[in-house]
Formats: sequence, C-alpha cells, structure tokens
Amino acid sequence: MSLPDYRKLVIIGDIGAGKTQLIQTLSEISPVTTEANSSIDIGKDLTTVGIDYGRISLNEETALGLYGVPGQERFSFLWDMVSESVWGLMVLVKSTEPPRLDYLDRLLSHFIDAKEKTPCMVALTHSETVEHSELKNLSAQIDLVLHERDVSAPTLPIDCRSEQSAMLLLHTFNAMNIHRTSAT
Amino acid sequence: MNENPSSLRLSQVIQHRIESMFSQWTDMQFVYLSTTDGFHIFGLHQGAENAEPDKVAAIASSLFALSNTASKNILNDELQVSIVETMSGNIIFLRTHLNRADTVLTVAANKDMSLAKVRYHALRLSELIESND
Ligand SMILES: Nc1nc2c(ncn2[C@@H]2O[C@H](COP(=O)(O)OP(=O)(O)O)[C@@H](O)[C@H]2O)c(=O)[nH]1
Ligand SMILES: [Mg+2]
Repeated sequence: MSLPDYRKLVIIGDIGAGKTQLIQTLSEISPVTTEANSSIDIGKDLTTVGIDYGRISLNEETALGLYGVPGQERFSFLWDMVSESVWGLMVLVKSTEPPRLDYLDRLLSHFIDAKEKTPCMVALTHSETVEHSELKNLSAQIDLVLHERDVSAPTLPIDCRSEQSAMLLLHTFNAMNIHRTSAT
Repeated sequence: MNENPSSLRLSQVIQHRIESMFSQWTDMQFVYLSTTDGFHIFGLHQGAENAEPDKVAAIASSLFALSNTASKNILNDELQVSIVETMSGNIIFLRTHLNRADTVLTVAANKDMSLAKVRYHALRLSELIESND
C-alpha cells in the first residue's frame, strides 16, 4: 500500500473570517490551534498567533494538510513559512463586512506563484444571513481584483461551521485541480 | 485596529528599575515585553539593531503559542519558558503577567552570558514586572 499523496492547502483571510473554524470543521484529526487572548477589541476573545493545522483525506489517494495562518500583517513572517510548495490557496472573505480589496490583493501577490499558477478559491464566509444580491455584488468586486492579478478563481459562499458546506467547497476545489499533482 | 493595547503600561518606577538593572548587564542584547497576541509593550536594547520591537513581539507571540501547544499536547502542562540557543547567543521567552494580563518577556544575550544567567535575570525581571499592579 502506498502512502496517500499529501497536499498543502493554505487558508488565509482577515481576523474573524473563519479560518480557525473552517479547519476545526474539516479536520479529521484533532486540530492544532495556537490562539492567544486578544489584547485589543477585534470582536472576539481569542486570536490565532501561530498556526492552525488540520488534516483531511479527500479519498484513498489524496490527503490535504490544512494550514491556517493569521491574517494580520504583523504575522507575515508566518506567511513566508507556509508559502513553500502550496497546492492550493483558500482566501476567506467575511461577507458581512465591506471587503478590503487592497488587502486581498496583497494576499494574492504573496501566495500565488505567477508561474505555477497556484490554484485559488475565494470563500465568502458568514454568508448565511447575507442577501443573494449583496453576495453577487461582493463577488463581482473580488473578481476584479482576481482578474487584475491574472488569477482565475471561483468565489463561493460558505458557512465555516457547517461540515456539509465546507466539504462541498473542498470537493469543488479538488475537482477543479484534479489533474495537478502535489508539488511536494 | 493595529493600535497597541493602551491599558498595558509599566509604571515609571518599574521602568527605571529595569533600566538600571539592564545597564549593568553588558552581554544582554535586549529585554522586550509584549502581549501574547503580539504587541510590543516595553523594551530596552543595546546594539541588536535588527531586533525591531514590533517584529520581536509578533515572533515571540507565535513561538510562545506554538511551544505552549507542544507542552500542552506532549507534557499536559502550560508552558513557562521557551529557549532558543545558537552558537552566538541565547534567547529566553518567559511567561509573565502585567496587571494580570498574560504577557511574554523576551530576553536575548550574547554567548558571554551563560544560559543559566540569562534565565536567572529573566526571572528577576519577571518578578519586577508582576509587582507593577
Ligand atoms: N455565522 C457564521 N459564523 C462563522 C463562520 N465562520 C466562522 N464563524 C464564527 O466566527 C467566529 C470567528 O471565527 P474564527 O475561525 O475564529 O476566525 P479567524 O480569525 O479567521 O480564525 C467564530 O465564533 C466562528 O465560529 C460562518 O461562516 N458563519
Ligand atoms: Mg483564527
């Protein structure tokens, strides 16, 4: 029996977007979390300061390592640490807040290897309560940023707390990139 | 949103006492105090120009959280100290409290100060910081 193909999915996005939650929902091992009490008001008590790590098998041949890193720019040294051999990038955008498009652009420029064309997906989180028309509008604004960076990535709504919603997203992503082999 | 937490301050008295201790330790490169979520609170350095306080604060919070995850998962206990050793010097990351908030004290010294000594000094500084209340 051969070991499954192991791939690295990086999950990034602004504070409170749902990175830690998504990894908790998806991971089949008890996830590694590194949260600290927030000393400033960010709308929640804990904030990730290290790395969130989880793992999920997509099928018998493929396992995904889920790597969540803090979105705040002061932690960009951690972005560097995980940006080697990325199989896919999932950017979480909280759909209940005005989008920070400059920030999205910076994330893309950091994680997307222009030559390798790292597969990317944008997930609109906290979307359950947001009107369909608003999601469409948000998605159009994001598409413009993606287009400027020459990144083709689908934008899909998700509820990070729901296993069904999260799995659907992951399988869509995998189906899109089924022909790509792991870089590691 | 990137404002530093304003409520966490060392009193002038404690600051002066740390400064006078630090000035006697010529082999110590810096002493920085930061929040566990990576904000700089207070610091002193001599030389160590590349150890920019905001950068050290962010790195200290990540390293401390990762080491704490290791100690909790492997030893079933909270982390107290994390140590980084190199050929040219040592760094100690020590859990401490300022006004009851969890903070990290980062102390770096060159190789002429023994690890035991760095640790000892760090503990003394930590006691001082915890008396700030
Ligand atoms: N309603 C809703 N809540 C979510 C969603 N994703 C995350 N949350 C919640 O939002 C809060 C912040 O999520 P967290 O994963 O800590 O955000 P992070 O800063 O990106 O790691 C947590 O209480 C989550 O349970 C979502 O899609 N919908
Ligand atoms: Mg988090």
